[in-house]
Formats: sequence, structure tokens, C-alpha cells
Amino acid sequence: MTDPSMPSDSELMQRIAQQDQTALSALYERYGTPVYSLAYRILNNYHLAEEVTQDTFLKVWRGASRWDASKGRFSSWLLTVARYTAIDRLRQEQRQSGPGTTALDEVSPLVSGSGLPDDPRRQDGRLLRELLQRLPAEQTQIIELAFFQGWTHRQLAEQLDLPLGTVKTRARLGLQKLRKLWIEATRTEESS
Amino acid sequence: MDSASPDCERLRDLLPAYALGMTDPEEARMVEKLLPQCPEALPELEEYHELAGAMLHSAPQIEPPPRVLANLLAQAAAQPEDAPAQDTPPATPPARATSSRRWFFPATAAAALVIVLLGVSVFTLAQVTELRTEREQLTQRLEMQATLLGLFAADDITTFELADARQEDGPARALVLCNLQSRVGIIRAENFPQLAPDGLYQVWLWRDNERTSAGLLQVDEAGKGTLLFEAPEIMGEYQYIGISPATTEDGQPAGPVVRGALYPSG
Repeated sequence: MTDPSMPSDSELMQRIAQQDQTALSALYERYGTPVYSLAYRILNNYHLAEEVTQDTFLKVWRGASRWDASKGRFSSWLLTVARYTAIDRLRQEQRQSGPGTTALDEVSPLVSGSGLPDDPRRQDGRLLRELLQRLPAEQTQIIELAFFQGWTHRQLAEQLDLPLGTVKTRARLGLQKLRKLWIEATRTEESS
Repeated sequence: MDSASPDCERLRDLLPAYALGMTDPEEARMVEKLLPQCPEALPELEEYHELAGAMLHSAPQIEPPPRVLANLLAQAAAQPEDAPAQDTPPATPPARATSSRRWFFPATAAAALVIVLLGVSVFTLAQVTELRTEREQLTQRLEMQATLLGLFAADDITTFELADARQEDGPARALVLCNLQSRVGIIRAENFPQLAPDGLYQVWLWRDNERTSAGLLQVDEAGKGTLLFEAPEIMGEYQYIGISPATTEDGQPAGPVVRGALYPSG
């Protein structure tokens, strides 16, 4: 349940746009852990995850006035910024494609919907983690590498030394099954 | 287009990967081209987007160390929000006359030139003053950033919890992060009572029964506030820290809301 006395994400962003450090601190308290956790999941390095977490919130600090609430749920937007920042950093570290940068304006949230400060999507994340374990290992591997390393079909085929068609098939079958499991699980939750 | 058409079938095959951002550029272009022609695919795309959103939250949750917030606030203090684009400056000075017979300028033209040049000079002077002020502000911010980054890059950060001084187990509390060999630190206050509009809290450092102000702290409507402070002496010189309302309605000194000892535990 959302505490009505707590400022909403939109309110915090408005205050951050006015250079209110208290609001930045409050936003960090709300989302520091999911941002850091995602960064660590991508980078597998505590030091780099710390830097990416700071960079993510600094991007918010510097570009708060450009955030558009109509773009969707704030937490998803923020984590999308974190994901791109972490993947950029990963690529820099791996010296695969040179330094990449993701401007705040380029980031679109992966999920549409209204912003809610008390984000139930962490439960969704736990559920999804469980569902991923039900897929064949080779499908889970493709999905996780694509999402957390930012690899495309072609890059996955090169990195895993697999035919491109095999990668596409595993990705498609895995995601179709995951969607089916997701729908079943969320409908069960709703009816119970 | 018919949903069973080969193009729509092809689109549906690519939708899952597209939603997760794993399509190659040519595949992504194809999806974006076909989507308007196969509107029945949109709800499915939305479901895959939902999955992608859950993926963002699927990492096992790990608490970041306190220094991440400290570093973030230090860097934020040194990096204000992107400045809006500057207004276009006034017109540039007119091109210098190329005529070899400049001494034949009419008096009005010469007067106009003087006025323009004066205007340019005033504008330039204003810009120089503005830039000098900005440079001074940036230098201050950079100094603060360098100090704080130096402080928090080290592993010898000490954290102190300040408890509610008004009642046992009261809700107000504050966290102090500092290096005892340095003069700077960060305070994070929570559950502080609301003051009158524009009211502020004062942070006091105590040494040998003498108190020194470490700065003013503002809290929001939720009773939270953050202060980057610089003490007159290194933090190891002080024994206690307390935070009190800076002003009271009757002008009398107010007791501390929180207080605590500056002795590292353990």
C-alpha cells in the first residue's frame, strides 16, 4: 500500500529539477537497491556497480527537468536508464565496441503505465526469476545474456558460436513459453 | 493486413526478441514497419514489454554500501542540473569596413560605429563578469567535490547513528558519515518534526563543553533532509553532535531533536 504521506516519484522529480538534494537522497533511498542490484547483475563487479548506480542517479539529477511522466512508470524508466548505463560500462570494460554513451533523452521505458511510488514490480521480478528457471537451460541462457549483456541475435550467435537460426529459435521459443507461464501465474495470483 | 498473412506471422516471430531489445537493427526496422499493418500484434507486444519490465526487477536485491549515497551527493553538489541553452547573444560586431577611404565616413556613421562598439564592450564586460562568477562557483564546487570524493574514496568512513533526544526510541534519527581525520561529512536526517515555514535545523558539534555550528539543515515534509558540512576542525576533535531547531517561535534556545557521541563503536 502506498503511504499517502510519502512524496510521489513525480513530486520528487520536480524537486530534483529544482536542485533539491534531499529529494535526490529520498529517490535514492527508494530505488538505490534495485538500481544497484541490476547494475551488479549486469557487471558482476561491486565496484563497477557502485559507479553505475552513482552515474544513473547523476543522470537523473542533471536531467530531471527533461523527465516526462507521460512516458510511463518511473521505476521502469529509471531501471532502463540503469540497464543502458551498465551495458555501456560493460562494453567499455570489455573493449568490445569502444566507449558507448546513452543520453537520458534516448531512453524509453520498457514498460508503459502510470508511475507508482510503492512499486509492486519487485514481486514481479521475483516471480519472473522463478519462471525463468522452468525453461530449458539453453533458452534461459539466451534470454539472460540478451537482456543483461545487451547482445542482439547476431552478437549472441558470435559469442556463443552457434548458428544464427539456432539463437533466434531458442530466443523465440523461450520467450513465448515465458510469456505463457507469466500469464498463467499472474492470472492465478489475481484470482486467488 | 490479414493477421494470418506471412508478414504478420513473421512479425509475431520477431515480437518477443524485439520487446527485449535483442533484435538486430534490420530486424527492428522490419518490426517497426510491419506493426502498423498488423494491429492485432500490439497486445502481444505489450505483454512482452511487461515481461521485459519484470526482467528489470528480477536481479537478486543487494543493498548498496553507504558510500554510494555519499559519493552521489558529493557529485551532485558539484554537478548541477544541465543549464538551459543560453540565449543567442546579441548580434556580433559589424564587419569592419573594407573601404580604403575610411576617413570619408560621414559623422553619423562614425557615431553609430562608436555606439555599436560601446555596446559590444558593455556586453563583453558583462559576460566576463558573469563568467568570472561562474568560474568561482565552479571552483568552490570542485573543491568540495574533490574533498568529498577524497574522503569517501577511502575505506575509513565512520558512520554514527544519532538517536531521538526527546524520548527513548523516538522516531527522529540521523546518520552521520564522515572520516574522523577530515573536516567534512554528510548528515542524513529522518522523521524530524516539521518546523514553521522556512524553519531550519542547526547542526552542533561539541568539544569540551563548547559547541560549534556545522551548518543549517532543511527537512522536507516527510521530515527528511541531507546536509554536506564542513567543520572548523577535523571530526576526530569533537565528542558529540546534536541537531536542534535553529529558531523557535519564542526566540529561546531549543533542545536537540537528535544527538549522539562521535566515538567509533567497536
